[in-house]
Amino acid sequence: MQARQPPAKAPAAALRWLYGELPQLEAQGLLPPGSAARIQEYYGPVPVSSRSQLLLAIFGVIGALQIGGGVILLLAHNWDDLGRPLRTLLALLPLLAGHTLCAWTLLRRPQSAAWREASATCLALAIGASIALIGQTYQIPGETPAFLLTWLLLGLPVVYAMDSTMAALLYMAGLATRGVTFHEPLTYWLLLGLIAPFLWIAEFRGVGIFRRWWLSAGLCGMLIAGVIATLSRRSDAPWLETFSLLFAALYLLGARRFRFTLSPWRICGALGTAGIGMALALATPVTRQIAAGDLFRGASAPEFFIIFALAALTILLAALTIPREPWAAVWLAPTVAIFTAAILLPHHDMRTGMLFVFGNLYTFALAIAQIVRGYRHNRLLIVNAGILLLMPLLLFRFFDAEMSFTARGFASILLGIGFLAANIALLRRKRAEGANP
Amino acid sequence: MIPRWRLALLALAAIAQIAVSATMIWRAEQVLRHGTPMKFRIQLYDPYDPMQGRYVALRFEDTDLPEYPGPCETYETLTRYVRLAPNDAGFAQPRALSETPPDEGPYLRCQVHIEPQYRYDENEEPEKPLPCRAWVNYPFNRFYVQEEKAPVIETALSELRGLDENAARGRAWVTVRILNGMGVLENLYIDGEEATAHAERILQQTNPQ
Repeated sequence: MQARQPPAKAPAAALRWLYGELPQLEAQGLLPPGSAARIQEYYGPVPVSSRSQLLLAIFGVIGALQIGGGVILLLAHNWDDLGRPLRTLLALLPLLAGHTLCAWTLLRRPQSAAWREASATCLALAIGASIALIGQTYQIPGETPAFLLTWLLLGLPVVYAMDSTMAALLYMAGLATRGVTFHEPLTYWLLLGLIAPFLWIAEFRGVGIFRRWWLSAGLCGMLIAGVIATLSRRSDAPWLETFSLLFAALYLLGARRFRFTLSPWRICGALGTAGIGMALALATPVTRQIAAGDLFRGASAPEFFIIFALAALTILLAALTIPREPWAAVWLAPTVAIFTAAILLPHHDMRTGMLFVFGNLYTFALAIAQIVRGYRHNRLLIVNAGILLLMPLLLFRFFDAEMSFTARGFASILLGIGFLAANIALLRRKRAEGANP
Repeated sequence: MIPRWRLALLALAAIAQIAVSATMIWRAEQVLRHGTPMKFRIQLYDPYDPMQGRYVALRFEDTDLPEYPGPCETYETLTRYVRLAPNDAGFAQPRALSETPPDEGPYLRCQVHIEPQYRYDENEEPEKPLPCRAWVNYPFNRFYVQEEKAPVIETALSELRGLDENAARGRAWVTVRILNGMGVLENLYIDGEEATAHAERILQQTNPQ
């Protein structure tokens, strides 16, 4: 007899559902008698209190954030009546309290996610508060980028020591703020590299879906901020090309890593790609300015590197994902169009004209496809997303003063006929399905 | 059982964080105890909001260097050591720039802005280059105050701003301790009185207890 393989780790919700179905399956003869007990023995008991642990952790973090924020506000009152030595001691107190709490948690409650998250959050906030209060007490001149850099570097070990999702999210938020506000791309990507091992371990170690989702969302934000930090040095940077590659890569990553849930990568990639399509379609002065960026002239080394890295990643992901999920190719279309225009149409006006036409056709087709897909799978959210994408486009084109009344009139009539025809076709199909279930 | 490396990492983090805080405190205390005291005239300007949060934003007079050896063809910002000396009125003025700390006299390490200057003829063509202009950006540009006193100090500064330039000149200044290129603000003065004491006096007059 073959040795039994260990079971795949199943989420608690899935196990609960399965164990609930087993008695019925046995009763209906779909499973041999005794199968239910053997299957339960194989997978083991449902992990208890996973939801209550999660709730404890969430409340703990919120409580820690409120207390930490309140302490910062109280201490920021700048009590110069107390004298410098006492104010210095007060400035160090949050730091000492945070470390005491974290040490106690590791020694007495190491398995409690609630305690780890709350104590790590307290300590992460206390680090920034201490540095700021010492600076205020001694009137030490300091620039915000240097302050944020010090806070990030001192807070990073807390993320790893406490295995804290919230501390990691605070780190990412601080880094993104610093990157977007003060640029410095090399520093940004180095600091992102320091948190990357934590994110990698969380992604592949089988942590809870809730934690994995939030860390993935944080990483999405970091990548977007990183592109902004890298390209912000000049106004004619290749924004369109870089962001189209980024959103395409995010979507394909989401399609590969999170197959059964709405992953933040997929959401971010889809929203970003749809946003690019809409921006091209509306062709406002801002988008025209962005579309005027030259991909090959004046690009710096960091810009070349980021575009090359994103392009290589997108091509690799496309080769791995599209054979299995052909629908994903839809989200690559803007990237292909933008690069085609950049390479084949060097002249600015021709390029923006082509992208304008593409943007309108793509956004329209994407919106219709989402509405149809949502209808077919009974997913109201997707139907609504399609409508939200379509309505601004139709309204903008209706009031577009650059098109003649005649052109707008004919276009509206044709569209209206198309929608009515689609309605009739769908109704007939529904009736036919009702007659032949 | 928690891995030992987590405890060790937490301990290392604590040491690093306390070391950074302690270093900040120690350096500032050294400057305040052993630094050369100097007075810097502050400029009375009227920005949209001079009180950002809980501090007074400071702008300084007497920031121009007497000369810059050049050359300078475009505007640029450099980090240099600036030797300071008091002028006839007793207020600090930048005297010389160097890339290394000067051998004597108080000095600050700060940003210096350099700009080429030209004289133009009647056809608005550049006639000949004038000596480059160089001015200092002092790093101590914020004075933190208690939130109740901030509006009172702002009112006092506003009243001075309402005067003509000559009447207002030199009536507000800050004292700074300078040591080894670092400067730490000691106090803000208005008409010879500490700004915080002035604000406290006004507050007690308006809210006697």
